[in-house]
Amino acid sequence: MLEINDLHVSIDGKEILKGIDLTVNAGEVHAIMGPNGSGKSTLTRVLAGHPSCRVTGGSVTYEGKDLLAMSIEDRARAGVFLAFQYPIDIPGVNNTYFLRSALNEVRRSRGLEELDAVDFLTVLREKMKIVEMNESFLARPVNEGFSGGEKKRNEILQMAVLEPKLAVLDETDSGLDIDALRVVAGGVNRMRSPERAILLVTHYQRLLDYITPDRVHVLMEGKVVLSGEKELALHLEEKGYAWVKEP
Amino acid sequence: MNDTPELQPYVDAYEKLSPQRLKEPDWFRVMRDEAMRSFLDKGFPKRGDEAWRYTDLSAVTGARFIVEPMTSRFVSEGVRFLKPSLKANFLFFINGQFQPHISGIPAGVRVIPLPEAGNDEGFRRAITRLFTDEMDSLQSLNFGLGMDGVFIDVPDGAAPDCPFYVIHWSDAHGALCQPKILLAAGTDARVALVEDFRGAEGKMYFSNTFTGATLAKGAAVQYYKIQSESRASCHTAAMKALQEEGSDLLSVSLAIGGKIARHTLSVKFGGAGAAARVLGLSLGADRQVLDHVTGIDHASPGCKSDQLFKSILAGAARGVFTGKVLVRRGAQKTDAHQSSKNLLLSETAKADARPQLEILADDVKCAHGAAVGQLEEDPVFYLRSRGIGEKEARRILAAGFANEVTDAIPLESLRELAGVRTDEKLGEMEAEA
Repeated sequence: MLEINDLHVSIDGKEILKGIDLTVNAGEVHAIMGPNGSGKSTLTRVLAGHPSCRVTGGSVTYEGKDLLAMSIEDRARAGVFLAFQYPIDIPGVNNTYFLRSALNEVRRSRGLEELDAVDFLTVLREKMKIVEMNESFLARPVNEGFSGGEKKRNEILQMAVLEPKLAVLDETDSGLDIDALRVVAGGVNRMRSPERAILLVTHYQRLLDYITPDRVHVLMEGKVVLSGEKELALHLEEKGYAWVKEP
Repeated sequence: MNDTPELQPYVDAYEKLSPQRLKEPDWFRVMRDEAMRSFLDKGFPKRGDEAWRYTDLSAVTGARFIVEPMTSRFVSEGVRFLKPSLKANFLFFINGQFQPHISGIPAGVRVIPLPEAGNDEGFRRAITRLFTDEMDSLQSLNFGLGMDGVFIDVPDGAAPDCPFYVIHWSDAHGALCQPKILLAAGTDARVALVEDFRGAEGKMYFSNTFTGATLAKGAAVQYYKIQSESRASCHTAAMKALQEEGSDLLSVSLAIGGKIARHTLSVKFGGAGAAARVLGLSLGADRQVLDHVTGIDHASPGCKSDQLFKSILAGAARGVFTGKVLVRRGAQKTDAHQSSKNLLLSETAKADARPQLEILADDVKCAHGAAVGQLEEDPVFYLRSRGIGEKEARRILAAGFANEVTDAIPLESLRELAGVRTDEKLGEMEAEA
């Protein structure tokens, strides 16, 4: 589904990703771990098409297409979803309206009929159960005044509504208390399917107590330095990232 | 007297009014004379006047307007089709003239057209309180030459079940439209007043309006204005509220139309514990100049004023906000807040915010802030990352910016109407972003 080859990315003239290679197949969950500043967030942002990321080399192929040539919205319409580490507040824009606009854009691009407000609400209520979210969030402006945990739940809700093929989660576990972590992880597990790939970017092993990855990759200084099975995450937790560096 | 030839038509028009004015009571004639004298003394605002620094009225001063009543191309019956679909007591004005035969007047409330109102004691009380020497020359012009208007008298404790909705329709080229709307809200009365200004596109006319409200003890008044005048027209409106003890005002002004438009709102707290929440939204396109001026006079202690003025500007439009807050000596425990936020959608749009605070009491809470900026890129990216196209993302964000003002309208039907008018204009502005 996703194939990253020798990807080089700079931000503000500074090279952050220095040749990433990664292949993710449909049905798989991959965890990307690594210390702060290793380039984890940049990897997620370049996949979503953030304008600050300048690709200086390499390629990203998504379902056989050149992902890097696609606009931000076209990536989303083609099924790429990024759960933000720091979700953005959108004052004055109602959460339900936002979610419906997004879903209808995605549906239109897939040749599906748009949902009216009533049908959409039925879909939305169903999805809200997944993240155990209160209905009061629907009438509020997107993320405005939400707590950290509420924002993350809202990201997972968006993911559940948009049903992406490739979900990229950028430190969705950071800043969550244990209850919120359980809910968010539960939402991700519910999204696992043979047609969907999930890329989990995390600093800590604890998210992986709830979501069992198929593969774990360690990112350091802009490169994947180690890949392995889920046990690798446990090993990292025990020994720390410095261990990877040792010859 | 100001001997400028541009004022001569107004002098002539005033003389022509004499026969009509015979019906007016003496006190009203004295007031009118005084207003006219004041207008002729001051003349039209000039470019150099500090209060008009950003808003050039030379299109008005240089033009010859027709002061006499003008007929409409609309059969007045037809104007009824301008009614939005919401429940209200509709009052119609065409080219500044009241249309009593098509206006609906509910029981229990007195709605008196202006010439007759002159003999009404309630009207006399209200207008003499609102007529002060603080008026600018345009307000004086309205008092001097404006013949039409209505007086809405809401008695003590009354609460009409739907708003008064005034539709001002103008379609006569060169018309000078000077309606006056007066609202007297009795003790603990609750009432909502809407003024909706519409005009035939392409017609160059001049609306110079006055709206006054007196709020007795404990009264609650909601005032909404939607200004969608012709884009060739000039619009200068004054709204003045006198608030007594414990009264409450909510005022929302939407500036959408007009070539040059200014809305001046003054509030005076004449009793303790009164509150005013005042909001405005200017949506400017092309070369429009949309100007909001406020003056909140904290003349009594323990009053609260909260102002939020926003503008969204495209093309080479200009938005101006001047907000004056005066806290008089002795007005302790005043709580005054003022905020101006401006969103520029193009490189050539411009916004100016001028807060003017004069605080003469020491135990007060006063805050103000002003911001001018463009849409931030992070929210645009966020929406696009969810599949929303860039143009649509920017439209949604601009609408969200506007919503903070329109969401303050508690009447749902009216909030929706304001939303529709806002979205229409934003759609037009998108092309100029």
